[in-house]
Amino acid sequence: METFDVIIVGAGPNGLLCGAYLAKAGLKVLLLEKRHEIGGGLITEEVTVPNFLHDTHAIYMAMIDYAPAIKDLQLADNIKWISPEPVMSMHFSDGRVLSIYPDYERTSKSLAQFSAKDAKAYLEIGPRFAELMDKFLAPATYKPPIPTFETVIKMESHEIGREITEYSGRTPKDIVFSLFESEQARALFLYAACMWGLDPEIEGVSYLVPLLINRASQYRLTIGGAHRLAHWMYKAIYKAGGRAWTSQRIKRIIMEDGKATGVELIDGEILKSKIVVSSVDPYQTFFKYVGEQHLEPDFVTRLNDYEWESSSHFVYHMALNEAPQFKHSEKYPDLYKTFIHVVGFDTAQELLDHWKNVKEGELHQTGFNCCFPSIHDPVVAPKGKHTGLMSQHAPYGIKGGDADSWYREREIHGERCVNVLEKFVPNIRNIMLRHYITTPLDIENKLWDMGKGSIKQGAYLPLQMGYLRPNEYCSQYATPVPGLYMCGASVYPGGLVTLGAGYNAAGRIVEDLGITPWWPKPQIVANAEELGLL
Amino acid sequence: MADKSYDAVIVGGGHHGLVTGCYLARNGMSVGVFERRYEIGGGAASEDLPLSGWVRDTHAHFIRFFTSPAYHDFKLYEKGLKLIFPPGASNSCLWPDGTAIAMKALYDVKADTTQWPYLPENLEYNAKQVAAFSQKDAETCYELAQKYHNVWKHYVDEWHLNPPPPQGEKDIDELLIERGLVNPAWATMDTGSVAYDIFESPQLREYYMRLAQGHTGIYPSQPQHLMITLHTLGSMLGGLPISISAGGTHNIAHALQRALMEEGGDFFVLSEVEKIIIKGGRATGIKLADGTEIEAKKLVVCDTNVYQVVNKLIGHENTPAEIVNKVKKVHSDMGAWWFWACYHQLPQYKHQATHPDCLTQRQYMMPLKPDWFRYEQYEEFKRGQLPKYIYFHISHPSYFDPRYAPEGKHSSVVEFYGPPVSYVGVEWYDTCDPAVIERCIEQWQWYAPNMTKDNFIAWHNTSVRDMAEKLIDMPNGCWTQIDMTNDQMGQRRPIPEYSRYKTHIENVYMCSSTMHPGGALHGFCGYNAYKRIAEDYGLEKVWETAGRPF
Repeated sequence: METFDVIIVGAGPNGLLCGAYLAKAGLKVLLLEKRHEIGGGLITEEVTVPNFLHDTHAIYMAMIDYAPAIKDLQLADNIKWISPEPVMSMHFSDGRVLSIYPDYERTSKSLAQFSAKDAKAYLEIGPRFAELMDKFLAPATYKPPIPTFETVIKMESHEIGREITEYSGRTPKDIVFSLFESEQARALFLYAACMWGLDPEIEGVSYLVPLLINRASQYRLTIGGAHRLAHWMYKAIYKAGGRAWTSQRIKRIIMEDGKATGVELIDGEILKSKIVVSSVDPYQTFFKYVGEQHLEPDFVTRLNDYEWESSSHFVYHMALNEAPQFKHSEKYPDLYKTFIHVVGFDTAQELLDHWKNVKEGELHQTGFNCCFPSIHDPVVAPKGKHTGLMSQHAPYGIKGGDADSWYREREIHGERCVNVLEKFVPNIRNIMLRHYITTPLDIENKLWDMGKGSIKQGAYLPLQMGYLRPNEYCSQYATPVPGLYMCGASVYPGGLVTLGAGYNAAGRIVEDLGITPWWPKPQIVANAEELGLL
Repeated sequence: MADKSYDAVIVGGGHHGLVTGCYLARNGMSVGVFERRYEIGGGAASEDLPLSGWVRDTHAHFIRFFTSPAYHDFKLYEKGLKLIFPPGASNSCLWPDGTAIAMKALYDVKADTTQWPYLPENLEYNAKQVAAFSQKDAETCYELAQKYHNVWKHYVDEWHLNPPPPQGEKDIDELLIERGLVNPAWATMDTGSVAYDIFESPQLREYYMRLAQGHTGIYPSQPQHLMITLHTLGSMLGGLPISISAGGTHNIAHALQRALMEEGGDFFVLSEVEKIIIKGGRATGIKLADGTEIEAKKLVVCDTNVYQVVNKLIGHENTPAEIVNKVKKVHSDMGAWWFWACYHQLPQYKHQATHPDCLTQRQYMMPLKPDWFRYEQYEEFKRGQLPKYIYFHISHPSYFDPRYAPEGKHSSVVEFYGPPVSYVGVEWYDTCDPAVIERCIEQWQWYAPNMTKDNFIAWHNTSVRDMAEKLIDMPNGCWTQIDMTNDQMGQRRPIPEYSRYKTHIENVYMCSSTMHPGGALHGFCGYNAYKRIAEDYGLEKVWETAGRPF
C-alpha cells in the first residue's frame, strides 16, 4: 500500500492550490476528487453543442492580479487572462447604459449621463477603493486571519484600517446609497457589491463592498475557459511528483488514536497519510467523514451553527449560431466589448425586491448578469459562433415546492430569463442553437461542498467570516482534530477563486511540519505589515 | 527553431495515443501528446449530462479495458482507476412476452492479474436458461462456450494483440480455417445467416444478431470478420464480464495521462495539429494551428483517423496518388442513436420476478422479431423510416455505481442502431430525436411498465452529427472511426499499405481505431502500434518482459 504525506480531499481551486504548494515543498501529495474532472468550480464543459466550451461555474476571475500563486506557480506562462472593457454594463429600459471601466475617467463619464455628482464622486471613490485594495484588502486575502481583538487594534492604528472598519459596520445598501445619488449608479454598484450573494441589508462584512466595487472594474476572463487554471495547477502538482485522482468518493477520514491518518473510500480502499487536508465544507468534513463521536460537544455546536447561503444561482448557458446584437449598441458601441452585462433592473429597489423574492423562494421574470465569452475569447466557440450565459440569483428551495421542484421548473424559468434578455438582445431566440441550465439544485448535485447551492461554501455572515470562518476552531486552517486541516472556501478568506484559502493553508501546514516555505512572502503582505494593518 | 522538442510527438490524445505514448515514454523516448480538444481521452469522454450532477459517458461506456496490456503494464488500478463489474449477470436479454435470459460471465476477472479463473458453473447457469427456449440451443451454447474457452479465445487474443501479418502472409482467421478449428462458411456468411445457422430459437438468433451489431455496428445483412464472430459467440455465452469505469469513462484518460506524466511524458490540450512537417521524406515535427512548431526528433504517431492523416496531416502533396485514392474509398457510415436518460425511479422490469439479476449493465431488450431484424429493418431504414422496433441496448450505470447520478436518482444509456448515415444524411438524424425518444419511452414500458413519461427527468442525445463534430475522427458519428465491415478489417484496415501501423512516410506511424483491430476502448491499436515501433527502433519487447505470449 502506497502512503502519502498529505491527502487532500477535493481538487477544487483551493485543494489544487494547497496541493501544488505542498508538492513543491517536497511533500508526497495525493488529491482525491469526487467528480470525473478536477477543478471544483473551475469547470469548462462541452455541454451544449460540440466545440462550444462553457464555464459552467466560475467565470469572472476576481483576484488574478493579486494572487501570489500566479507568480509562484508560473501560471501566467501557460494561461492567458484578458480584461475586456467595459468590465460591467447595465442596460436600462429607457435605452441608456451605464458602464464601469478600469479607467476612472471613462467610468465617471458614463456616470455623468445620470448625475454630475456621481461622476465626480467616482473620481474619488475609484482611486480610494483601489488604495484600500492595494494596502489592505488584497494583502489580507493572502495571510491567515488574526483574532478579532487583535484585528480591532491593528485597524484602529491606521486611517485605512479605520475606514475599513467604518465600512464593515454598515450595510452594502447604506454604503452604495451614500456614495451615489442616481438610481442607475445605485443599481449598478449595489449589483456589483452583492452579485456574489452578499446580503444588501446586513452589517458586519461590508469591508467586502469596497473590494467588490473595485473588482467590478477588474474582472478577468480566462482564455480557453476557467478550467485552464485548474489544469495548470494540476500539472504543477504532477511535475512536483504529486498525484490527483478523480471520481474518488470518501467514506470516512480514518481516525487512529484521535488523529486523522488517512481516508477510506466507498469501495473499501484505504489510503494512509501523515495529514489530511479537507477542501470541502465543515459538514462533510466533520460529520460525514470524521464522525461526531470523535468531536468535542462544544465544537459540534459551533459546526451546527454554520449556515449555507440564503441564495444561489440559476444559470442559462447558450450556444449561439451568430453574434448577439445589442439593442442599445447604436448609441453605445462599447456594448460589443462589454465583459459582464447586467439587464432587467432599472432601480436599486428592483434589485432589493428581487433579492427579497429569492430569499422567500419565489421565482419571477426579472434581471440577471449576462456574458458572451466567445466575443472576447475565440477559443471557446467555432469561428463565427458564440457562447453566452445568463446568471441570476435564485432560491435553492422553491416556495410551495418539493425536493424535485427544480427538475420541473428549470425550463419554465429559463424561458423567463430569455424573455428578459430578448428585450436587450433582440436576436437571441433566432441565434440560439441549444442551451444548458444549471439550477441551485444542480450546483449542489454537482459540487457537494456547495450545500443548498452555496457557491461560497457557506454564507458571508459576520459570525462566520474572518477569524470566525467557519468557526474559531478551524479558522487557522488546523482543526481540533489532530492531523486534519481545512483549506477550502469555508475557511478564510472564503470563496470566489481568490486563490487565498489554499495558499494560506499551505503556509500553515508547512509551518506545522517544520518546512521552510519555498515561496516568498508577497510584497503586498509585507507592505501591509509594515503599515501595521496585518 | 521549434518551440518544443520530443523524440516522439503524438498527434491526438485519444486513449490509443496515450497508450502508445506511455510505452514510448517508459522505453526511453521523450514524448509530447498534442490534443485538439480541451480534454484528452478522445472517446474516453464524460460530461455532466443531461444535467449537472449526472455523469454521461458521451462515447465509450461499456468497456473491457481490463484486457488492455496497458492497464496491467502501467498498473492503472493503482493510479485511481477503478473498473466496476456488476455483480450477478453480465449480459441479459428481455423480451416483451416476459421471457428473459441473464448470462453470467465465464471468467472471474480481477484487476491486478491477467490469470482469470474459468467458471464452468456459470456456463451451467447460462445454458440452463437457454434450455427454456430450446434444448438444442442449450447444447449448442455448451459446446460453443467450451470451444471458445479451449481454442478460440487464445486465437482471438492473439489476433487482437498483434499487428496483422504483412500482406501475403496468412492472418489468424485463415490459419484457424486451415487448421479446421472453425466452420469456414462463417467467414463469408452475413451475421443473420450465422445466427440462423447456429441457433434455432428466435431468442438466441435475435440475441446473436444484436450483440454482433453491438461489437462493430454492422447490420444482420452484412458479414462479420470471422475473429469478431468468434469473439461475439464468446461474449454471448457469458465470456468476459463487461465493466464500467467508476465515475465515468473519462477516468481512463486520466489514468493513462497520470502514467504518461509519471513516465516523464507530457500532454497539451487545445493544441490542434495542422501539419506534420516533412523534409526529405521524413517527418521532422509538427505545426500547430496557432503556428507553433514542435520538433519530432525520431517519429510522429497519429492517433487520428486515416482521412486526417492523408488528407491533412501528411497532405496529398506528400502522398502517392494511389494511396490518396484508396483513402477516398474508405467508408465510415455506421449510424446509431446514443441517448442518455436520467430519471427518478429505477426501471422495474417484469422479468425480475423470474430473473432477479436481469437488470444488468449490458441489457438487450428486443421485440422477438428476428426475421424482421434480419431482413426488413435494413430495408425500412433505407426508406428513411424510423425504427419500428427499438433494439435496445440499455445499461443502468447508477445502479452499479453511485457516482453516475445524484443520490436517489438514476440514469441509463439507451443505444440502438439506425440507417447508414451517408444514405439518409446527417440531417435526417437531426430531425428524428423527439419521435425516437417517444418511441423509446413507449417500448421501454413493454419491459418496465414504470418507465412512463413522468419518471423521466431529461434526455440527452449524442447525435451522429454531435459525435462527428466533437471527435473529428468519427465522421458520420462512426464510433469505430471507419466501418468495421469485413472489407476494412485485419490486413485491409484501413488500407493494406498502412495495416501495420506505419504510413508511407518512414517515421510516421498510426495508432488510432482506424487501425486493426478497430474501435472500442481496449487500447489494442495503441499497444500494437508500439509493438511495430519497438520493432523498428529496437525498443523493449514489453510482452516478453511481462512474461506474456503477446
